[in-house]
Amino acid sequence: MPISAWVMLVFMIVFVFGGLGACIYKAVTAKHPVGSGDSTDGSCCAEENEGGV
Amino acid sequence: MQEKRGFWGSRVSFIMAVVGSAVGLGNVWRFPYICYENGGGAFLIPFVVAMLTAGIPLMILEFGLGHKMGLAAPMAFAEIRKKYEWLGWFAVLVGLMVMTYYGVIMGWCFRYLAYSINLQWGADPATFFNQDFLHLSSGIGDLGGIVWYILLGLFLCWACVFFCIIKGVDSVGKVVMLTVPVPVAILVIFIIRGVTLPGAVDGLAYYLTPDFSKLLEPKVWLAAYGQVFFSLSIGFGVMIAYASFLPRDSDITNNAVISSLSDAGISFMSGFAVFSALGYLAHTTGGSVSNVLNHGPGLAFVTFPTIINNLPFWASAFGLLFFMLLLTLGIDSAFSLVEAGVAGAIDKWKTPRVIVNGIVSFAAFIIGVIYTTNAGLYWLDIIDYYFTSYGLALVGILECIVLGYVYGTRRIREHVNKTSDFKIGIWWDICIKYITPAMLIWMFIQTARELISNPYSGYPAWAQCVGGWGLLIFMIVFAIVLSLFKSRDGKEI
Repeated sequence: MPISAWVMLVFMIVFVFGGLGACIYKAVTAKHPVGSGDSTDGSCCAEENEGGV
Repeated sequence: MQEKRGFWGSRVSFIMAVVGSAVGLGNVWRFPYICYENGGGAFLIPFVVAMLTAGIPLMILEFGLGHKMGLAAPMAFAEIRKKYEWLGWFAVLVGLMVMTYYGVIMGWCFRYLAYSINLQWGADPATFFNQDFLHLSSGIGDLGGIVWYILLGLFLCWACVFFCIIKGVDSVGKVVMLTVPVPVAILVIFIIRGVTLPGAVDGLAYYLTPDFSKLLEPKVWLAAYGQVFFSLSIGFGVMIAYASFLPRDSDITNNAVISSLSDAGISFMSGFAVFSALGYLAHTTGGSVSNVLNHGPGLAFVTFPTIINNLPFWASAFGLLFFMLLLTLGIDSAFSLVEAGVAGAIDKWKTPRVIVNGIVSFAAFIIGVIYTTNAGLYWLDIIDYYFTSYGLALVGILECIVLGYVYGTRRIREHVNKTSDFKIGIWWDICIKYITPAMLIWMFIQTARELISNPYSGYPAWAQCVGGWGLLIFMIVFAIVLSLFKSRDGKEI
């Protein structure tokens, strides 16, 4: 494979897997782990969705 | 009795469900081919740009809308203004129409799974697929009869879909824990097997060697935006429905980025599995990779069986694994398309889930019967072309206009930023209001121009009308009719 193909391979690995790694790290280490699924009692959605169509 | 709206059990199950929906057959049989056709490795540059300026922003937009309204697409649009409810219905109807033929392709996979045991497709998989398996007729008007085992496969697919979403996000959250990691694991097996075969490096060179001169061609950029848009399951109302089941304190932006990058990563990985195998096939047949290159159903049901035939050992096992890969990739995309419609109907009419699920699944199964006839492949081809090229693009354009200009991106941005780790700025508004609709409109016009100068695949005008424009217009009218029905807001059944 030519060197340019290797360069594109590294570029994509850095973009996709580097980006994914960073986002997952951020999600795991967030001080306030939002969206952890704790508030599944249904009460959370009442605030903004009242009023109907 | 009115059913309580559920919530995702965890953040992981939500992300898995979104990734499962986004990652489908197209990641395997479309992305590698589009990449090769548009400059090889150089295509990855416009692909990344499109992902950053359209894919991720649209994902945030749909997540943001669903999460803010706490409703699936139809009623989420109705919350904006009642007159836009039809757009939500149109989005889910386009998705359901896509699902009618997606189910048939999965039905084929069920049958091919059985064929893999003794490599029943024989030495000439192309003839086997068209003549012995599909019993393809002479033309689109010659329906012939129903092929019973394809009908059985279609039924099996719909039975799986029905049970996967029977308890909404509760059951979906459990199923995706299996149907997302399994195809990734199989893909890894195929990559390892592929790159260790002779000729694999030649195949990978075709895939990754960049032709930077292609970056000056507008069609390459158009292909990149098209690939990103079609690959992420945006415009079917799926992401709006899935995000509507998120707890109020959920992160939106980071979830959207993780889901979009996962989809891109799996597409990229698929390219390795496909091109290393194509390199091997070219090596064994003595031809070049471009001669054996294929995409779409041809890649899955003709080229891959040929490659499997040529494997030095464990050919049956790899055949089983390959069709298992397609089935597990397809099933979560399939039920997400149905769930978007089911959730929309439940939101509006408060009908018990099992009834809505049953009606939608049965109706779509009946529509799907046309693809099980001897002319099924032609109808599948024409409906796929019109609904993905025009239907989906139309939803995307209108979604950007309604949410960007009528409702205002600022309101969704502020909502998203309240709970997200990463805050989005004005750049996101620019992507939604200008870049994405401009690219989609351009794509729509280009495809329409091509169609006017050259009828799609040479199908007769009546077929293009019935399966194409006519069906699309019917869906728009049907969406408007659905939006005119009164909702049972707050009333118990």
